[in-house]
Order: sequence, then structure tokens, then C-alpha cells
Amino acid sequence: MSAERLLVDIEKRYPAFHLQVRLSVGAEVMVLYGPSGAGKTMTLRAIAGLLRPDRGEIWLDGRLLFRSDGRQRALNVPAHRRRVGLVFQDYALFPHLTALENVAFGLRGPGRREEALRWLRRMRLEHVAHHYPSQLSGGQKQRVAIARTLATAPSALLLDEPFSALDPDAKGRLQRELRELQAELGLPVLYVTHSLEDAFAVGHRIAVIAEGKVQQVGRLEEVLSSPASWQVARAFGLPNLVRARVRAAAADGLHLDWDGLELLAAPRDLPSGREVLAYIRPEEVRFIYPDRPLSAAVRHNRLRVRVVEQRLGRDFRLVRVRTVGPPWAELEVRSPPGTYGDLPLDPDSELEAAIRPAGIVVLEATGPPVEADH
Amino acid sequence: MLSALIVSLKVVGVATLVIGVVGTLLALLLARVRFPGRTLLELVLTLPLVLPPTVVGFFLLYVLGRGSPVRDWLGLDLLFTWQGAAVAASAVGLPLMLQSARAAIAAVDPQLEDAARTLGRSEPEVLLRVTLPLAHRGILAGLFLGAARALGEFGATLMVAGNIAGRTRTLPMVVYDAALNGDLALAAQTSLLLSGIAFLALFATRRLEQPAQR
Amino acid sequence: MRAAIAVLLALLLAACAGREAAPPDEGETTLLVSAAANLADVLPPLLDAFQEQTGIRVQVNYGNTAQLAAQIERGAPVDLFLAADRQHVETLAAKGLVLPDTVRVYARGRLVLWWRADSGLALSSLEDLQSASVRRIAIANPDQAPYGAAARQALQRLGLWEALQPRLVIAENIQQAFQYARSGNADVAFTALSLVVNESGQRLEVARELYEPIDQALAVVKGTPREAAARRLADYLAGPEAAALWQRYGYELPALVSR
Repeated sequence: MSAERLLVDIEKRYPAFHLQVRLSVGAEVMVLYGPSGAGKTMTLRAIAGLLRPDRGEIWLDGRLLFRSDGRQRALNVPAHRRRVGLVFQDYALFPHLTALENVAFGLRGPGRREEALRWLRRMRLEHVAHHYPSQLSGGQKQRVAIARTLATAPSALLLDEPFSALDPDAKGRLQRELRELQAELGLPVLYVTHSLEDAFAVGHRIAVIAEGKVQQVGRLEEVLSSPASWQVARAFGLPNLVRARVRAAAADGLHLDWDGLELLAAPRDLPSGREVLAYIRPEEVRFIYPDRPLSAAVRHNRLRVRVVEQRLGRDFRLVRVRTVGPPWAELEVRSPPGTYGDLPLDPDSELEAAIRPAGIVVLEATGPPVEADH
Repeated sequence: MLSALIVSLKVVGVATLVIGVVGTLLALLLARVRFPGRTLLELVLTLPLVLPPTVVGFFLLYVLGRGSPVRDWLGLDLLFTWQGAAVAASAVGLPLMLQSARAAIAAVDPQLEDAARTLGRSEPEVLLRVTLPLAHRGILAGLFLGAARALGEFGATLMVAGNIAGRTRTLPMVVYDAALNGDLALAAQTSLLLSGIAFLALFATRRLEQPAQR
Repeated sequence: MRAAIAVLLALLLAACAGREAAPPDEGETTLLVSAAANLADVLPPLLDAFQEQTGIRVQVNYGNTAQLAAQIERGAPVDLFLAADRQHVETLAAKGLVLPDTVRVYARGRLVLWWRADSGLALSSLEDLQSASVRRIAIANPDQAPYGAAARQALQRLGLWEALQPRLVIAENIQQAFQYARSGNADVAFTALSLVVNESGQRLEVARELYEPIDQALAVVKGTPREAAARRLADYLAGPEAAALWQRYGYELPALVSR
């Protein structure tokens, strides 16, 4: 990972909301992911200089953009001098200017039109240079918006759900282009989205934000497989969240009591009696072939389940099952598409399943009730 | 009637200019800047809309006449001049223009202004390159409306500038005098002329308010 | 859009050009007179004659007396004030705004009742106003116009004021009152003789004893740079040469009226 280019540590209080964001972004695409109202747009606006935090610091490439100790503002560089580019969710193209004029808007000097034309060419938009935004398609508009921002050579690029209004095809292309641009220009890019798919498509790292705080930062796969808290789990809409109580922490793993069923989770030092929320990774639930010898993977955490339905995706198979309880729960079981060919996985078939201990992730202590119809 | 037409044109010309410049600046101020006393200023500026023009004229008489700063400090004696009439006409036309201009400026998507800022444009540039161009229809519509009002202005101008043929007698005064003296033909002709000009101004206003698809 | 801006610019240029011409020729003197609106008929011939004699041009600002007085009070550049009454001139004199030795009555108005010839009305005295066929009586605002006040006095002295109140239509001034009757919106109007002296229609002069004389006074405004010329005009208007014209237009002259 490259050296940190954009450093954010800010705080802002509202009557019903408290924003506390600490974030550092290198020369990468970092996804800022979270549900609506989490504070994502606020964070972007603060970095761009359109929102003034109560206290904190913002650094970009060694330049201090904002500093305040909460009482007096020592520094607040105005937005137009921050060299931070912002691409808006609904494009924010100037309706009274052509595409070319839009891209040239932030440029100065005699060569601005040529420069703008060059950017349009790069985004394959030269044929609509003289069109007005109302005559452009969604994808074209967003490309103009990106060109317009990049033409000013910003030191950082912020995008606020930039492709949410596009069809999957256009979205996919633009996401690829974005990654290419980032690699070419070496900019820190902060990409806000509430779509996990988007996050996977563009991001190197992900920062999960919920209720005004950054809950977890890390590589996408890591965060997904080991959510740090129930907020993160909920932000991802993760399935298989169960409530359990700690029986004992032993050398072979953490013993949990899930409504009477004993679970063995990965080793973790927690006091007995503690109530926890546990995440059972869908990939770590295995079905047991009744007529084959048990492998190591399925020795622990056995339970009986009934199939509810199954779904085949491009590169996965998802089976939803209901435990024959207690405990009563619905679980998702995820596996590569070619597996379980010989097992009866039609609805209402009963099977045995087992959970690998390493696939049970304990999220910190008590959170809100898990949805019953998960 | 010709001399009155010239007086009216001079008065309306200057009034339109004043309304345009002052009106736009005030509209920007009221629509974008929060400051203590803003509501009070708004109310004061709207007063000429609801007060009888004679009252406005009376007030202006005090503002422009003996003992006022305008007269004593600036050395401007505007009473009984067409320039004074222009001031009176501006005073009654301004509130009309303000309503329209202010609404148009407030309707400009703040996100566009934000975008302009992040693209490196300072506040004055944002105003000139984004806000005003996008609001120009409403501003111009308000301007035409204010100008039309200034054209028909009578009570306040009468007080401030008097009714002097060739100097300060405007078209509306001609109508008034003619009607009073029973010269109905002249009254009708002049009314027609006034109506025609006002009609054109209002027509322009309408076209501005309903933009054609670009 | 560009056309509109071009028009505005043209107006601005015209305005700038006009700016220089605002104070009229310094070569020959031009006086500015504020005159009561009811003098609109009689003044032009008087002033033409004056200009022929003296070469002094006169511009007139017509209006209602109270407004004209207020303008003078606020410093309007008026040389001579011809009021429709005496009181406003005397008030200005008390305030030191006019030259006291120029204050004089230049004419006395006569109050008449006027109605259209084809209205079918036959009135021989003010008491006849009580007749049922007289539905609306136009009168200038008694609180503001001297003729209106005079009409009120006359009616009050005859004990008719209360009874006729409901039928009164208050006009802004005597011209308007006259117009109401002329257009048929009112049946009769109290107005000035000077207004109707050349009009067709029927009239009844109200007896002099019924109202305070409507003396119309003039005065030269203090501080005017054209004081000498203004004095000449004042003398002319109140003098014997103008007398014939005043009478022709329905005014009386104070010198010729027995007190």
C-alpha cells in the first residue's frame, strides 16, 4: 500500500447526528461504504471544503486543508483552492453550457478549449462536445462530469455514488475506466456507494461507515469475512447472524451456547456468560454426504436443516436452509457452483450440515435484535 | 404628447437601469446572504408595493428635499427634475423586480454552485458564471415588470417631480390631466400608447418566464 | 435578449443626453410656477401675454394646492406659488418660505352648482337639491379643496348638510367633481365658475353670503435666484392688465368686490 495521501480526522455535531470520521487514503480507490444517512456525503463535502467540521484536520499531499480545535478555526482553505475534485451523484453539469464548455469550466488560459477537447477525446466524447447536457445520456453525462473534474488536475478525486443511475452495462464500463484513470494518474480516490457490487467493482480497500463513524477499514474480502461489529455486519446485510452466549474460552476454540446447541468457534478470549452476536460465514457451512466418510471440515458444529430454496449465480450456489431446531434460524449456505451435485437440494429436503469453527466470527457483544426472518 | 413621451422614455430608461443594477445586487444579497436585519430590509423594500404611490412620493419628498442628506451632502437637487422622477419610478418598480429576481436566484441549484467551487472558481466567478446566467430569465422578467411599473408610475413622481410640461410631465400625467379637463380624445390616445408599451414589456416578461426547450 | 439589452442601452444614452438639457436655457429667464390645477384654463393665455410683454418664459407645474405647498416646503425649485386658497400661502409665509411682501390675493373664486342641460333638472335654489331627482351631488373634498369647503359651508348655513350627506360624491378636486356631473355619473356638481364659464349646461351661482370668500393668494418663493422676474410676474397677475382675463374666466377681483 502506498503512503497515505489524504488524511481525514474530523468531527461535526448536529442535534441528532454526530459525525466522527478518521480515514486515510493512499494512491488507491477507497470505497466509503455504508447505509443512507451514515455520513458519507457529509464526509465528502467536508473534504471538498463545502462543509465546515467543528474540529479536526484534513491533509492532502502534505498540505493542510483544514484545522480547528473546536473553538477557533486555525485554518479553513476555501473550496476553490483545495484542488479536490468532486463528482456528484446527479452529475451537476451546467445546463447552460455545452459539454466542451463544461469540461473547460475550471481551466484558464488560452489553451483551455484544446485541453478540454483532449479530455473529451480521452473519454470518447468528442462527438458530443457541442451538445448540451439535456441532450446527453446518463453515461455520457457522468463521463463529462468526470472529465470536467479531472481536467482541473485535482490532487484527490471524490465520487458520490457516481454510477447509481446508470444501467449495468454503462456502469461496468465506467467503473473499469475509473480504475484505469486512477492507476494512470496515481490519485487518491474516495468512492462513496451503498452498493456492495460497486464496492467490489472499483475498490481496493473499503471503509465501512455507519451512524457517523468509520467502523472498519481494510481490504474488501477481509472486511466481509470478518466484520468488526454488528454495524458493519448490518451495513453489509450479512446473513447468518446469531445470538449466543459464551460457555468457555479454551485452547481448541471458543465454546458458545447457541440456544442449547454447542458451537465451537475460532479461539477468542472472552469471559463466560458474555452475550455475543456471531456471524456464520455462508462459505463455511458444509452439507454432509450421508454415505461418505466425514472429513475434518465437517467434524464440528453439526446440525439438521431443511432446504427452503436454492439459487444459482454466475459463480456461486446459494442455498437457504432452516434449522430443525432448537435453535431456530435461517441460514445461507454458499458454495462454488459445481458442488453438491449428488445431494438432494430441492425444497423441503432434509440434510445435515456442519460449520467449520473458523467460519464462526464473533462480533462484539450485544447489538440490536437480529431480524427474525433473516 | 410627444414631449411627454420623451420625458417618459428618459425616466423609464434611467429607472430601468437603476432597477436592474440595484435590483440584481439586492436580490443576490437577499437570496444568498444571511445577515441580521435581513427580514427587515426585505419588508422595507416591499413597502412601495403595498403603499399608495402618493405616500411613497411624500416619503421621497422628504428624502430628496430640504434637509436631507441627499441634498446637503451629495449636492443633488432632484426635486422637479426628470431625474427625480426617475428616482421615484425606480422606488416603485424595484420591489416588483426584486420578487422575481430573488426567486430566480434562489432557484439556482446550490449543487451547481458547489460544483463550480470545487472546480476552482472563486465566489465572484461563481456568481458571474453560474448563478446569474442560470437566473437571468427571472431577473430579466422582473426587470421588464419593474420597468412597466415605472412607466405607469404617477402618484410618487407627481409629488417628487411635479407636473411640468416638457420637463417632468410623463405620459400618465397627460392621461390624468386630459381626463380631468374633459379632453377624452387625448386621454384615450395616450392611454393606448401607454398600454401598447406596457403590453410589449409584459409580453417579453411572459416569454422569459416560459423558456423554450433548448 | 440582445435586442432588449440594446434598447436599454439606447434609453440610457438618451437619458445621458437629456441630463445636460435639464436646467433650461440660462440665456433668457424661465420661471417655474406652481399653480393650482383649476387655473389650467386661465393661465396659458395670461402667461403668453406676459411672455410677449417681457420676454420671460414661464413653465407651470399644476397640482393640488396642499401637494404644491408641501413641495415648496421641501425645497422644490419653484419661483412663484399660485394657490387655490389663502391659507396655504399664509402658512408658508409664517414659516418664512415665501417673501411676505409679495403675498396678495390675485383672484376670488365663485362657487357654482352645475348640471347637464339634458338632465331634465330645474334647480333655482340650493334647497331644490333636496328633490328626489337629485340622487348624486359631486363635491370636491371639503377637507382639502377650498371650493369643497365652501360648498359645505353653504349647505351647512342653509341647514341642508346633514340631509344631503348621503347623496354626496366626494371628488378629489373641482375638476373631478365637474367631470362627474359632465359624464352623468353625478346629477349635479359644486364646482368653480372658472371651470364652467365656457361650458354648455346649466348653472346656479351660489349666493356669496353663504360661504367664506374663496380668496386665491400668490406669493414669491423665498430664495429663488430669479426673484426680480418672479416679482414682475406676481405684479402682472395681480394687476389691472390681467383683470379682464380673470373676469372672462369666471373669477372676481378683490379690488372690485365690496367687502
